[in-house]
Amino acid sequence: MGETAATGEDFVRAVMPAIDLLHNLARRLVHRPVEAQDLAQDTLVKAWQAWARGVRPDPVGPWLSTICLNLARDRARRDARRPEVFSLEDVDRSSPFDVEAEAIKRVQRTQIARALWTLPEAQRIAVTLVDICGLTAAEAAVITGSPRGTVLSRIRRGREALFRAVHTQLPRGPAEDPAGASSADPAPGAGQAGPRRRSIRPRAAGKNGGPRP
Amino acid sequence: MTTPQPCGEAGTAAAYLGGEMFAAARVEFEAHLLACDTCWAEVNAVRGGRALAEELREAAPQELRERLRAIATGGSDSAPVPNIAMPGMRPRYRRPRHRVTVALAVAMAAVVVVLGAGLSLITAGPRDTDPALLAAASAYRSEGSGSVPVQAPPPARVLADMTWQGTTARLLAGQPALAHRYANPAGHGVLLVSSPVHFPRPANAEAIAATRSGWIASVDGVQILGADRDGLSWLVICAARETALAAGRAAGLV
Repeated sequence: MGETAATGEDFVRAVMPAIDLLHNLARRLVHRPVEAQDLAQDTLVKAWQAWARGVRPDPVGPWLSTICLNLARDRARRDARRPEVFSLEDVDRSSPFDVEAEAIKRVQRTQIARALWTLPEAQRIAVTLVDICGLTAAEAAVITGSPRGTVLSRIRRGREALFRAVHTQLPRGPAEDPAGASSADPAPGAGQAGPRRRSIRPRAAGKNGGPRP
Repeated sequence: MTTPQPCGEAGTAAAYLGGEMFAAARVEFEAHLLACDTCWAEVNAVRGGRALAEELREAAPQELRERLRAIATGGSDSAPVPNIAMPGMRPRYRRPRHRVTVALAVAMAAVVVVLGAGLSLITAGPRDTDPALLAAASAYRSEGSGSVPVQAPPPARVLADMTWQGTTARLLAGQPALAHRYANPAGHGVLLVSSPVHFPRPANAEAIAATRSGWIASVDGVQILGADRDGLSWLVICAARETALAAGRAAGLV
């Protein structure tokens, strides 16, 4: 009995530092926040079962990520329903306590999250593992079972696609209905000649951001 | 946005972005970047995309941390834990409003049992200070004890510079309340408490200007800000007066 308790404490001590990583991964593998909570908890249960059998991975983050990713894939295969639109539950609701800056931040995060879902799955997972969860490309390669070079390429293309997806989501203003958007529908303003933002890059001498001669 | 012209240095851009270049090659490529719209756009987009993805990072909810402890230290090998989904069972999470009601009812029953022996301690204190306020002050100091975690959405995820850490159900000298804990990276925090039962204003309370019901007082060594709003009685509890006021303003209470 004492040994079981010590094993349990060891597990908590080993896994707790990776709990944010697990939450962030689960959050980007399924559409709905409640599903992400379920996925994260199921991952912990499976991990504990392995730990109790004597499995002692180090580091713990990639190990949890592998379990989580496999569970998400099993779930997706079992689940015939593949929502392509975000329900209102997926959008962080503003609360009466939000000040304007927080409300703006919330909308921005929603846009980014939505744009991430428009990426091909392999790119979305690569960007999630490295940029959101903080794993290395080498760890992501082991987790996904892909060569490191392939993972690096997915990360680069995923980041670029995410940037372009976000910057084609031209905001319609505070009245925008987040439940109306889907990956099948063009983002509001897509295809229109909206305000062009030209990145300012340093010139060799004198001018800033002017047209090339 | 017009598509920049293809550039023969595309492979080099990939190596540059992957951090896999020696210093001399990096300097040479950066000189190229100054002159090439295509490579500049790619580098800009890839770096921008990374920054956007990083915006999505968030802290795990307190309930996941509690769940980890429960799985490994408290009964993972006994009867199935209620919120593990089994085939054929209803989905474990229901609509948020219902979840609060059911969870709160269950939590209240548990808290009554847990706190049964401790109530005499809670009611001890200065004779002219309401026991519920004393209990609230005690709750601020003793995180976790005498409370039951509940799955309830917080009134806000961010309060001033503090982020929501978790919500528990409590009885404050018999008065039912939800306690939402917030903390900033420096470890300073507040407890935001709400109750359908009114918290009385202490005799030493100072009215907060421009509010109808807002007050702030020192109670048992901590600062408590009180106000009524939306049919609930609210308290903001912390060590420092200015923090209490800032949190109270952020919460729209004063």
